[in-house]
Amino acid sequence: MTLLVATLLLFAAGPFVLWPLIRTPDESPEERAA
Amino acid sequence: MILAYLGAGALLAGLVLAAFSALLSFWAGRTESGVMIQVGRRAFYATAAMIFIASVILETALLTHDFSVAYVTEHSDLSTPIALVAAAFYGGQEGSLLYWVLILGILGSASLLASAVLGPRLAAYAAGVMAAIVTFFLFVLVLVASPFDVLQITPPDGLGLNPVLRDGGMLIHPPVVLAGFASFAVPFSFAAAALLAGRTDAAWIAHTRRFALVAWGLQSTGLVLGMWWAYHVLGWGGYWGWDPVENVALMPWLATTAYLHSSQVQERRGRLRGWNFGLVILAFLLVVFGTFIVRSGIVPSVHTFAVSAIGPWFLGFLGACLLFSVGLLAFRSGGLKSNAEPAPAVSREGAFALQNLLLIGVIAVVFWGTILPLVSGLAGQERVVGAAYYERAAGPLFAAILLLMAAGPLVPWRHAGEPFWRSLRWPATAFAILLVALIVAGVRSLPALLAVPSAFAVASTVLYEYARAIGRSRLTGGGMSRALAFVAKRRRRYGGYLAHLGLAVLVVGLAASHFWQQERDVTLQPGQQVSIGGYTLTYAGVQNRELADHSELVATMRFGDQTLEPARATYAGLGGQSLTHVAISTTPVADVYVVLAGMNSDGSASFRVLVNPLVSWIWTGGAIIILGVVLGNAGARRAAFVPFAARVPSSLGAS
Repeated sequence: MTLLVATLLLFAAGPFVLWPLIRTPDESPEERAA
Repeated sequence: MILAYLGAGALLAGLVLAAFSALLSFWAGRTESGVMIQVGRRAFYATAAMIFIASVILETALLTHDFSVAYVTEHSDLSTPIALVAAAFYGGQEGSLLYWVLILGILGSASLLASAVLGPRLAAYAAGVMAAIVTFFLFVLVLVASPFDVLQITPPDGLGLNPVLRDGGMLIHPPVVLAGFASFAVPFSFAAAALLAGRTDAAWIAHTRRFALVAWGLQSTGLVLGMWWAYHVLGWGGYWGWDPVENVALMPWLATTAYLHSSQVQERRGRLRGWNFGLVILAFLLVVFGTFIVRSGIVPSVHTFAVSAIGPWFLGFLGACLLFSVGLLAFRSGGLKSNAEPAPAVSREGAFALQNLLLIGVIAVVFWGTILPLVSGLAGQERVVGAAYYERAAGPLFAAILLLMAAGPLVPWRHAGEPFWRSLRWPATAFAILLVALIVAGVRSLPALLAVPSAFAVASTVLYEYARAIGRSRLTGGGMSRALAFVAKRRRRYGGYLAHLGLAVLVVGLAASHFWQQERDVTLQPGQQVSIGGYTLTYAGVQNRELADHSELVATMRFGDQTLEPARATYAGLGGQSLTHVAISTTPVADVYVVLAGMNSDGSASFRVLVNPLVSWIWTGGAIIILGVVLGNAGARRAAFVPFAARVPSSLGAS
């Protein structure tokens, strides 16, 4: 049950945490330089 | 029961996210990958959100009396007032750890949000260090001491909160002092990140000074509130017992006090780089050490948590933090050296250096006194030192710090000339007047003759500085409003002086109540009187009161037109545990403090009556210190970082 809740919460947090990757599929040279 | 699973699930999700954030942030900082740095930081924010969800669930379980949760059963019951049920959140081992990491999540997120000025690499390392600390706490909360353990059989009622914790002070003191402890992790994280990134300039100081000040302010408030609680609730007539738990709260405060002063030397003169890193790291290591002492129950104390399984984990964490910090400092030691020539001894730099050394001396005294039972126990015979040791060893150091506080603010940077020596006449005069007055009044105690005049000298220096600020404004043709604008513009400096004034007031209260306390143990029949220190109290009688969760035996003492009601409370639901309720009459001059020691079979009652001079000055001084911190930093804009080398010509920096 605890594992199930944790998994669901991680899924829910996924879009927020991974948003920079979703927004920027490939890192641009400028960002690499920054 | 569902709440327990939800809470445990949130903590587990938080643990995964925190570990992910730590690993990713270190890696992204090393490779300087902008996108991954953002992902790592967002994982930290998500961790904080999970901790917040778990905290809301635990609070909900407490307020709804969900006794299927072991923590709720162990720390609350149906008869406990609802505010104290809510406070049980941090009243036990597991809940207080959750509260600790909740504060770190909130403050850590705030510091990361404001860290853009430092550049992505340093901010990434800071996120990594903070996430690593949070990972450890969540690991303990998930696997070793979970607040969401479920009982196999749900009891109809809980065991209730410890009687000592059933007080209004419980709503303020523990959350503030725990928040203070947690907040020291933020400056540490940025200091470690600066070392990892090789940014040993003052950038991290400009950014973390405010968080160090938050930690210092919270810890100052927590210490004063702790003294207030001990004085008003524990009923032994004092407020500071040099208990290990008090000591471990004092030490990081002392280290941060040193840092808040020495950091100015780096900001202004580019010196003491390594020393400042060392102080911030020391403050955090002392916090971890203190948490280990409090949580493990390894050192005897009146208010440690019960001996538990988490002690070894915290010892391991302390060892890991120590190795990491020392290794990091050693690794970067080459970049921490300053080429500047030493400043003259009589200069602001010299005063700060001396103050730092004295504070480190006090930390050493307190540290060895605290761990002596542990060290001597390992050698075969456990030894414990009392208040006399601390007073003899730390007293002279505190006196020297006070004298330095009286002179230090008057010393200019770099070189002290004739004006400095002339300005010393103000604190010197205040010291001499008080010294003579006390001697004439018959005081012969050397510590008292040193402490009180020194505190007045400190106050006179602060007032002189304020008068000088007003005088400068008048010279430029301004009135009081211009003077206020002058002070407001330099609020960091004058806020600091206000904190000095608060400390002076606090010291007078400490000294007076310590050196001139009067005490009498008496047994009285109804109608009989006791006189002490010029005050007369009449015992009127006793009555029994039944309250929701306990019964009280209340004695009535007539004191002028006041009625004092010292009492003994008995908690039948907690196996008959009893607690003293002190009665205190407070004036600015003295407190009359009455403890009901017991009732006798012949109808008489035994009392302990104390007259504690100027105790209210301690609380007033504490409030002035906090006011100084708040006014000194309220509304201050975040200064855009300008490297020291860019602000000061290299020739000046090296002078």
